[in-house]
Amino acid sequence: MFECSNCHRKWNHEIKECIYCDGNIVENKLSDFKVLYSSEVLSGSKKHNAPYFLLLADNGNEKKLIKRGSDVARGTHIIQDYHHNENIIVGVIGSGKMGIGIAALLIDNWFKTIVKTRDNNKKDTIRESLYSILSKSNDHDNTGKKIQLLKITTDFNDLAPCGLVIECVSEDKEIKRKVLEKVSQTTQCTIASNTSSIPISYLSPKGAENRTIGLHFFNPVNKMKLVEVVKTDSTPDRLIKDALYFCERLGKKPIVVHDSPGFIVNRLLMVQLKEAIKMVEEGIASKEEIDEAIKLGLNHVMGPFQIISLIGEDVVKDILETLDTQRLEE
Amino acid sequence: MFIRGVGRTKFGVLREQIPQLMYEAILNAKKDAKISVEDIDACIVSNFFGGTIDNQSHLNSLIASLLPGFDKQSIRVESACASGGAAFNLATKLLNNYENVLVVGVEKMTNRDVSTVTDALASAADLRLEQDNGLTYPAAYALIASEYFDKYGVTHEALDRISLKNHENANKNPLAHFYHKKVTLNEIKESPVVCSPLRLFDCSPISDGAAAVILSATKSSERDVEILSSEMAVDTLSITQREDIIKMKATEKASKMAFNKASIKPNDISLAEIHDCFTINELVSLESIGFCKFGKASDLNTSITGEFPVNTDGGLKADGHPIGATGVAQITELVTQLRGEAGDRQVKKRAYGLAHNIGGSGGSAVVTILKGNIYV
Repeated sequence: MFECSNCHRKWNHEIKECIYCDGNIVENKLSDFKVLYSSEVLSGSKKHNAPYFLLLADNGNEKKLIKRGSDVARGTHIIQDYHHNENIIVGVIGSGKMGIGIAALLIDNWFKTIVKTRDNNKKDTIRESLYSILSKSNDHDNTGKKIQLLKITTDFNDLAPCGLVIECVSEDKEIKRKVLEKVSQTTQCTIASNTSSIPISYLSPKGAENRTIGLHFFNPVNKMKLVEVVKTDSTPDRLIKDALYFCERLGKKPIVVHDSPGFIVNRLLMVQLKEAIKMVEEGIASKEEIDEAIKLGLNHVMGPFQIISLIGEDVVKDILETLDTQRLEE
Repeated sequence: MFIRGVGRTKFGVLREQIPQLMYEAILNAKKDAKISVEDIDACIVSNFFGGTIDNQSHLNSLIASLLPGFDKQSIRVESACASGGAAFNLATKLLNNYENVLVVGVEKMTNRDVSTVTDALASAADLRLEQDNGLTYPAAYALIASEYFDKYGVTHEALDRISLKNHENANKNPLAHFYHKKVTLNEIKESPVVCSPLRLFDCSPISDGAAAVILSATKSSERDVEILSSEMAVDTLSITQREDIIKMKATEKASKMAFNKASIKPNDISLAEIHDCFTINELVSLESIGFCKFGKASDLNTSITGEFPVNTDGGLKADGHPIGATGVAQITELVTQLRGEAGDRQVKKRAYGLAHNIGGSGGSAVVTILKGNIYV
């Protein structure tokens, strides 16, 4: 909200000079919006897929706000507009492909973001790669503003003020367990793992089961719409609703899935990839022929071997092992 | 009828969005007019494809957000590339009922791929007869150029000179899209073909920008410029329905009416703003308005220091062509010149100025004649 300090007229649009008088323009950051009414939208549009909730909120001072949100009661406090997510701090652990992708998505949507990395020497590289990603979809001014939302640390204790921490370390059960355990000790907030296949109930730190969920983003994070929201028997409904709302605010389409190895996508994908590898081993067809056949015959955008090279052979191997171990245990 | 104030933004690739562009132009016009917002009785917004490209229509209501407290009549006008001229024309009619009318034209065109913009622009052409068969505007004017060359034996060299002249004028206009760009005749001649025979330097650029004008029924200062006439006419939407594609009937009709009403002749005009969306259109339009015989426009000396200056701001070619703003910006240039406030690009003679703004391939046309304050 922009206001003339002299005549007190107000604008929603960014202006530099008052057209009525010579007063200075000041930008007021408004807060404390409470939901007045909401509507459950069941028939959507091309831009907004239904179902979702449309909220009308006000701050009791002439200013109203329209927002997409989750099913919240009248009077619920919601966070307000423009740089609307600056009040929430999200921690991202890991600075690999997924960690950087998720951090960029968060910052691009105005979330204050703390990236936790192991290596002090990587801090500059992380900042540079995030700056370069942001500058592709933002002008110079906004890139500059957004990169200020980023903090990089090597210390788990710096994650204490976070409202949500997303773990994105390598797809190794024991490493993930150790990291999540550490997060549960240094924070009180929701803990999410970006694991692509390991059951959340296996990863949940003791005593923090009711605040641990799975948030499985897909690579490349800025392009892939889907987030698998994984719930266990200990996950409260409230947490799932918040997670859905959070994903929507990032422009993603969340799908809730019950905890199980590989969730939805990788459980089906790995069967296909495994069979594709077998076919090459048995000399039935070449990688290229299989890719072409799947694209033309099933109308897929990519063939199985193109997917393997996109995800990374090491990650595919880790996922296959997780699924196989789970099957053996059963 | 008088023009009391004018204002505009820079034209070009700008970071500002529609509301900021409109606000800046209105603010500048309001300062120039030395009028208070409360004294504006009505508003007309001119915009072509905010609805198509940004899904933002209803810009006449946006005025109330930009001018807190303004709750009077506000209309949005669309007539393709003649939207600005049509809005200005309508404002002159509203002066029968109101004392002060604000006209603001705006377009946000950049930041999307050229093919999207080309399609949106093509929406001004006949859907079934033209668009469905591959007509885009560069292509339409390429056909017009081909016939013009064929009929009058004029060569592309005439178009190169128009392009160079308009770029040189833009180098004297700090608000022009190509203010900083120095262009050589060689660069123009060797630029890539867009739609043969038209090359890149025959085409106006894709620009963002806004322009505003405040019209008043009565004169309030010596800087006010009198509106002698503003007339509008239409022709068939598709060029396939016209007898002769290089004679612009809507332009001819609007010009005839405007000269009659102003009681002056074409050779009384000191300077003109001509709708050069493509260089060929500067020639065709000068002839259809009646400044010279058909086929002879390239013989006119139209530089700023020449006998008959045309497009002193750089024209659509080099000042820029933010569609909804273009027709309004033409008026701001004429007013600036007629007041003698055009600085480096000031013309000598400033008795009468003419603005010519057309939609599509000439399906609509507005011709406005203004009278200078000083007779030279």
